[in-house]
Parts: sequence; C-alpha cells; structure tokens
Amino acid sequence: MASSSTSEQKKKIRLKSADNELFDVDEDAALQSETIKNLLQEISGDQIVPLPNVTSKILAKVIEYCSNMCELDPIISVNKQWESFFKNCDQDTLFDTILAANYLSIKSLLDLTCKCVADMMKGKTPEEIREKFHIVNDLTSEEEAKIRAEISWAFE
Amino acid sequence: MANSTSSEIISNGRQSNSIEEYTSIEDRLSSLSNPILIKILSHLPILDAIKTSQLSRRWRNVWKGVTTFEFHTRTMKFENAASLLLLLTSPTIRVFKYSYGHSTDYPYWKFRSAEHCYLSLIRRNIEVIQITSNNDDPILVPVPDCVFNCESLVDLDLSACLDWTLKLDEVNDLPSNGTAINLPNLKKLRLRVNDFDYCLLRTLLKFCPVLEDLCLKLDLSNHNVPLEIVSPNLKSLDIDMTVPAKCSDTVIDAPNLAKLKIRDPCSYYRFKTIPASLVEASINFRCFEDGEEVMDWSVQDHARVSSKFIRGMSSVRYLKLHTYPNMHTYFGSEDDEVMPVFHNLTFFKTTMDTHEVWGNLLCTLHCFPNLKHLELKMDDFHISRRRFWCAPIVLPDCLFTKLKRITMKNFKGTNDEIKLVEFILDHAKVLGELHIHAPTIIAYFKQTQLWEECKSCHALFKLSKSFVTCKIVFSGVYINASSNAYKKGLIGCQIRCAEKLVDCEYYAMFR
Repeated sequence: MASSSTSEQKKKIRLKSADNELFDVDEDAALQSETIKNLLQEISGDQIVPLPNVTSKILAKVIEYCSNMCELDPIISVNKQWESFFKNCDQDTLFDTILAANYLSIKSLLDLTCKCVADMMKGKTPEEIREKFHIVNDLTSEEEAKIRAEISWAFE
Repeated sequence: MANSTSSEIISNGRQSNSIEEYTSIEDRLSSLSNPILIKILSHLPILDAIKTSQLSRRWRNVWKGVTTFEFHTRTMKFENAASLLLLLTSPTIRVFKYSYGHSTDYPYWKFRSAEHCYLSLIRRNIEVIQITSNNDDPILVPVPDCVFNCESLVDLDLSACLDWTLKLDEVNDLPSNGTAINLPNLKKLRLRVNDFDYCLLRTLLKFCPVLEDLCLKLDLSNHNVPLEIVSPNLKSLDIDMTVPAKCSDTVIDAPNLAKLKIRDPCSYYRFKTIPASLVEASINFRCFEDGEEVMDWSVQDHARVSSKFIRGMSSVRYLKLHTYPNMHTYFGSEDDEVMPVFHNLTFFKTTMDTHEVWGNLLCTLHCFPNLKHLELKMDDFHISRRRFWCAPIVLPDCLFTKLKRITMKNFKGTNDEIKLVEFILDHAKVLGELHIHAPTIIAYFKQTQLWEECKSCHALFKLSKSFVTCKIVFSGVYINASSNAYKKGLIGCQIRCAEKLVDCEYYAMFR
C-alpha cells in the first residue's frame, strides 16, 4: 500500500482543504479514505494532499470521525454518538458531509449519513418530505394522478 | 409545496466560509447524484422508497435502483412484493428482509410465487435474506430449496420459519430430491430446527465452510439421535431450547469458537474439540421454571456429564453459569478429580438457587484465581424455603487478593444474606465496591416496601462501619444510598417520591 516505505509508526499526513487550511492527520485515520489512499500513491514523499472539494469546516468533522473509528473503543457506541450528531446538525452540514464522504470514499461515513437522511424520510407522506427538504413539486396534477395509479396496487 | 417559514430559515444556519454559498431553502437533497440518492433510499422500507416517486420529476424513477428490499406482511402482501421486486432495475439486490405478524399472512398455496421470488434474488447476487416474525412464535412459511444453493449469500436468517421443503435421503444424508446445497460464502446463519429436520443441520453445516456465527432455536421434543454441530471456522454459537424435551446429546466440534451461549435444560453437552480460544460463555441449564419435573435423568448425572463440558471452557474471561444445585460438582470436585483452573476468568455471574449452599458457591470460586468481578442473583423463593448460612472450610484465594467488585441482585435483606455480606466484607481484602440491588417487589404496599428497604440498608451500612475500604451502594425501588454518606446511624440517601428522586437524610430506626 501507500505506506510500504515508512518505518515509523505514527506517520502524519498533511491535508489541504478547499479554503487552503492545512490539517495534520494520523496516517491510520487518513487512510480510511480510499481517495486519500490513492492520492498518496500518486504524489511522492511528504507532499500536501489537496482536497479541493472539501471545506475546512467539514474536513475537520470528517477527520474527527476517522480518528474516532481508529480508536479501539467499541465501534458501536462511537457510531451511536456520531449518529445522534448528524441527526441534530443542520441540513447543510449533513449534506456537505455526505458529499465529502462520497468524494473521499469513506464507506462507513457515507452509510451513516445516508441512513440519517433516510430516517428523516421514514414514515412521512410525500408532502411532509417536500416540506422538510424544500423540494419543489414540479409534477402536473395529471402526472401526479398517473404516478399514484402506477404505484397504488403495492399499498393494497 | 416548499413554503418554509422564516423560523426554519434561521435554524438552518448558513456556513460562512464554504466555497459555494448555499441558501437555506435550497433543495440540497434533490441535488445529490443518483447513486447517493439510491444509497439513501436503500435504508428505507420499500413502501417508503416507492412513495418518493411522487415527490417531483427528479424522483420519479430513483427508487427503482434500490439495493435493499424490506417489508412487513402487514403492510404489503407477499405476492405484491414479488411483483414489485421485478420492477427494480438494479443488477444487484443486497438485502431482502421481511417480517410477519401472523402465519395467516402467508397463504400456503402461493408457494410457487415464493420460489420465483427467491430465484430472482439469487440471480441478483443477494447477500442477506432475513425472514423474521414480530412475536417469537414460529410460523409456517415455506422456504424453497433454492435458498440453500446461493453463492453470494452471506447472512441467512430463517429463525421464524418452520417449514422447509428440503428433505434428506436416509441413506446418504443428502437431499432426497437431488437438490444441491452450496453456501460457500455464508458467514451468519439463524435457524429454527424441529424434530423433522434436525438431521438436515449437520448436512447444511457441511456446505457452509466459512460460517462464523450460528444461532439455533431448537423445537426438538422427541429426538434421540445426538445433535452434531461441526463447523471449523465457527466463532459464535447460540443455542436456545424453546420447549422442554427428552434428554439428548449435543456434540460441539468447533475448535475456533470464541463466544458460546446455551439456554437448554434438556441436553448433555460435549466438546469434540476443546475450543482453546473461547472468551465468553453464557450457560443456562435451568431455563424452565419447573425443569426438574420435565427431566428424565438425575441432577447428579447432569453434573457429572456437564463437568467435562465446563472444564472445556477453561480459557474464558467472562462466564455466566446457571446450573442445578451444588454448582461446585459441575467443576468436578466429587470425582476426586483436581478442580479445573480458569486462569483468564475475571467476570463470573451466577444465580443462587433455593437449594444451593453459599459455602458451595465459595468453593467454586477456587477455580477462578484471578476473578475481579462477581455477580450473584439471589433466588426468588419464599422466605420459608431459605437456606442457612454456613461458612466454607477453605477460602478461595481470589477473595483475598483479586476480587474488586461484587454485585448482588434480588437482595431481600434476610439474616442469612446479611451474614454472607458480613463474611465477604470480613475476608475480601481488596474489595472496592459492593453493589446491592433490592428486588423490585418485596411487598404489595408502598410503605412496606420502603420499610423493608430501610431495614436492609441500615443492616448493611452498620456492617460497613468496620470495613472502611469498601463502598456499599444500595439500589432499591424507593431508596438509593451509598455507605459513603452514612454517619452515626444517619443515612444520606435519595428516596423516590412521586416518581422523583428526593435527596434526604433519615435516622435509622434500629440504632
């Protein structure tokens, strides 16, 4: 893998966010991201890893998450804490984290944040979901009736 | 419509330093890419996912890409689910889960449609199939043979199903109708096994080479052939006997077992290979109230056969054990054998039975030289059937040098129980905490319960005066108190009063 030549244990990786803030991260934590893993293979030595798609605010959160996941504490309880964080944060943070987790390819974080969005939709009517996420309904009433007719049999 | 109020806009707070400026009323969800939306919808039951087709044009067909199919027969008929499955466009379906309310939810004659449904799942590389029921009752849900021949399957839960069509040929133990069994990637298996298909289990396990986690609910009432569990890579085994049955043998051959849980008063257990890396064991041989009446063998025999089994667990760190009386005989002391030593054991939990003598329990502790935490649940029986305290002749070493914490549950404050506590406090040199939990119901009347708890509390704290190193914590229905707050007969405690805990002090009445 990327760190095959390193001898010391606690190697740090330097990441640069979209707004040019630098973060020094433990290698274990950084390598949870497949994207960073691949970038490290491309660049040489102690170069800075640029992450032009992630803001410093979100990157800080993502790094905190990855470091937590590396700790030996029972993963389940750590996961619960993060779940409650994402359930209570504002939608912008949640969606920015989804985009960051997707771009950085951190599977467990993407799963967790997607699950949080799903939980916000569960058991709600279409109208309630539209309101919650500010979705504009661009369907004509004929189209709406047609869709309803198409799916109604499943609810019988 | 998206008519959000001004208060929502404020609560959605904008980020100051993001590269793109978002307005809070922007629809961030719909702007996600299809693969991410599909990931989100795959966390929803299928009916919730379908509903999203009505949100807007953008959402019209997104749901068809989901990789999870989850439903309850109360909200959707099985045949509707089977048709719906055909509408999904994703080349792989990872998870198929459904649960039952009643067995009548599944018309038996629809079996053919079930088979089609499972075949299409197998073609789409299904990884998880879970069929569960709301209550614990088994239901007659047919499980088609094809489920047992699936390369991609990792997790199979059939714990709610009773009826398999798979039947074995009596001569070679292979399926009589020539069906192939092949589950090369199965890691986790949950099954309910009854009299008719328990032979199948052995055959099935042969074809699950990488199985790690096995959970069995046994509905065996009348079988005489030993149940054999042979699984080379098994790490976790959970056996639950659900009905009282005739005594039988169960042989476990799983050398890599790390976690073992058994609730079964009926069978004799043996290890064919000792699981040398076993870490956690929870063994309950007395899970039916009137167990003794059901059994057709003597308790002595049970202890004799089981002692070999328990010796096989000597690597455990965590042991929960509930046996018939004279627990120490389960450790082999009656046969002139040397008692086994559980060097790694730090946590031991057991239930003190009506007929058990406390001295015997302390004898058992000889086997656990490094025990740090002991948890005892006192018996539930009426006070007239109580035992009498007798001190053990030889004291276990761990009591002096290792035991840090003791928890006693269902503590009623009888003289005998107080004597036991006194004895422990007298001898446990490094004990730091003694936690006492009162039973939830001692008396029908609130005042009586409160009074009983006061009495126990006072009797306990009076003891603690002379043993200052150990903190005693008492938790009851009405009183929570600690010996740290006990001075000159005055107990500082919390009393539950109108569902709230109130801090107060009261004079102990027996000064």
